[in-house]
Amino acid sequence: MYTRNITRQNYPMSQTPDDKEVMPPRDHCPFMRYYSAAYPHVYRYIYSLIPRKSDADEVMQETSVVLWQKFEEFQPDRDFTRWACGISRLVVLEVLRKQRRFIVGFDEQLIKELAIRREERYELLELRQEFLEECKEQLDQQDLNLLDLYYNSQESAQDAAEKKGCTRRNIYQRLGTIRKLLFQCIERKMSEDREV
Amino acid sequence: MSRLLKKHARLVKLVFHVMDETATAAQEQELSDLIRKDPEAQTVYLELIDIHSNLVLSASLIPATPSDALAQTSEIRKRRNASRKKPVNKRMLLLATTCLFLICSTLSYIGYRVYSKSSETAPTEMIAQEKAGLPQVEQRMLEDGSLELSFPTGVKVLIAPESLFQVTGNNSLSLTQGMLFARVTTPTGKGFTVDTPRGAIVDLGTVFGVEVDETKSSAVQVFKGKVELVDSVGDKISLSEGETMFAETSVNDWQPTENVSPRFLTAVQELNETFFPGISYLRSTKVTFIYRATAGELQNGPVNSPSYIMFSATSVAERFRETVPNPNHWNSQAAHFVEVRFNESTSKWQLPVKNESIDFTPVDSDVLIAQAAAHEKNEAGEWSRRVTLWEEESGTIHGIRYGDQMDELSIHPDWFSDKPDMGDFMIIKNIYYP
Repeated sequence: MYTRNITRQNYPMSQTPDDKEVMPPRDHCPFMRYYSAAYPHVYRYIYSLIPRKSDADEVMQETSVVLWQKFEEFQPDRDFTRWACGISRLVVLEVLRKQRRFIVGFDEQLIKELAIRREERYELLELRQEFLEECKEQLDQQDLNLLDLYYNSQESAQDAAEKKGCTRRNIYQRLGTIRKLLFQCIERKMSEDREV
Repeated sequence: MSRLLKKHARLVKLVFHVMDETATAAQEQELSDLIRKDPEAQTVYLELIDIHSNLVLSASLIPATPSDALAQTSEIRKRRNASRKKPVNKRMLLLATTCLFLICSTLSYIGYRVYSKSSETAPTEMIAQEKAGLPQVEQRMLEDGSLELSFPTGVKVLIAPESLFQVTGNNSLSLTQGMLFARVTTPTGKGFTVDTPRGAIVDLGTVFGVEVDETKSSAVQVFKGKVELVDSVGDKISLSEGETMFAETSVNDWQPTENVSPRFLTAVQELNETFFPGISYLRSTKVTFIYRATAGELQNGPVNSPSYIMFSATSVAERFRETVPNPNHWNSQAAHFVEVRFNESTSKWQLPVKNESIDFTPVDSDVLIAQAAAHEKNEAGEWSRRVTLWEEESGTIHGIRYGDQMDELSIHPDWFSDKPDMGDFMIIKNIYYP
């Protein structure tokens, strides 16, 4: 199985023995430090279990509140991000049981399977995320503009299509192409990294 | 092209639909079935979703404090509730109740007849007998076969197998599960209504299809004309030709979508000849012919150089009106597909027309959907031509985008009107959304 040493610089919340020594006393301030650093990781984790933005946003907020409430139980020698991901998984399942389904077919059993698979691949996914940033830089300006329009400006595909003078279908197709380009670029970089 | 992307092409497509929130309930179910208990598929899914969530995240603000997070939670809930619960106008409610009472009273005096015939199983079957004063027949499950209903208003409805439906009036029925296609061609049929678990669909003179899946999510697609959708709180939305709307179980509002389920598309394809005769929208898009007018060494072939099949958003007859003034030239040819070549020596794209090649300038909406290689003799000594589809690849070729087809597509080279014909292409496609 492919493994790679993860540096502390890359993963601020993956704690090393040094972390323990510098761990601040428990008050609101360390919570925010942990929370801010873990937020992107936890959000991505939630998104992989319930792949719809509105649902992921809602569960992320619920998780934030639970993390805040349960922070007293957090053991400083543990990895906060992994702890927070574990909590978020429970929140996802609780919301699923209480409220409603998310994506059709994403039942408790499948969500648990995905959670296990993601936890197994946690470090590789973190590495892929690093490569994603590099791969984004290789996209041409037109594609970067589209990503900016769709993701950053949160324009609907229809609005983006009107701005670009094409159809909504064209926008979805191009977004699909960009995602595939990014996926392939990350695969290439993973392979090169493996050889090194 | 990544081996994984190729191997899991269907999965990739479905994941993209989910990312863009254009997936139907059936597609979501298909995705979950594909990744369940398949570690490799789960890995591909997780890696793709992670790219998307990273892009989403790069645009999101991280709440500064947990109280901000809590405030965001309340805000999200408020927004959700506001979008789901629209105020009901009491006067409208009173009016609707009165109308309902009047309709019911009127129907109690009207005898109606609904005749039906099964196209596959029973030769003829009457599902609704004359029942003067009784506007409804009991809910019925059509296990297999399909059933065509003729309403006294002239409306024809085809019920697909495994559908749970009920005739509720002389110009209405309800569909609880399954699929139906309705054709309303008479003035008296206008207003024909299909009630679905997510709201009513009122016809305004059209041909349309409705699907209700097992989760009671409903989808409607208009093939011709216009329909009006009524959601759970009585709001009306108009839906025009070629448009599709979807209402899922948890959210009652109708939302536009570009997709219908594969089952729906298959049904459309199967019904094309029997139920939709004369509807150009389906006939021209389901089976499309590209006629190659240039002759090669043999009569109508073989072709010595590779060419491409291009989709043009503007119909080819209109687009090339000036260069090909004879309108009859485009008769029996595809409306939006054309065979093109790139001339390496002049670096120009060309349209083969009869014995000459006409230069043309590509536009942004052009898409090359396939490459057709030159003719080669196969092992049996027959001329054959290989067509490469780019469903899972994409890029640009001399300034024209290629590949990345979202719909299933098949192209038969040297085939025309269901028989071999050297030099022609037949494109089989359910519905092409330009």
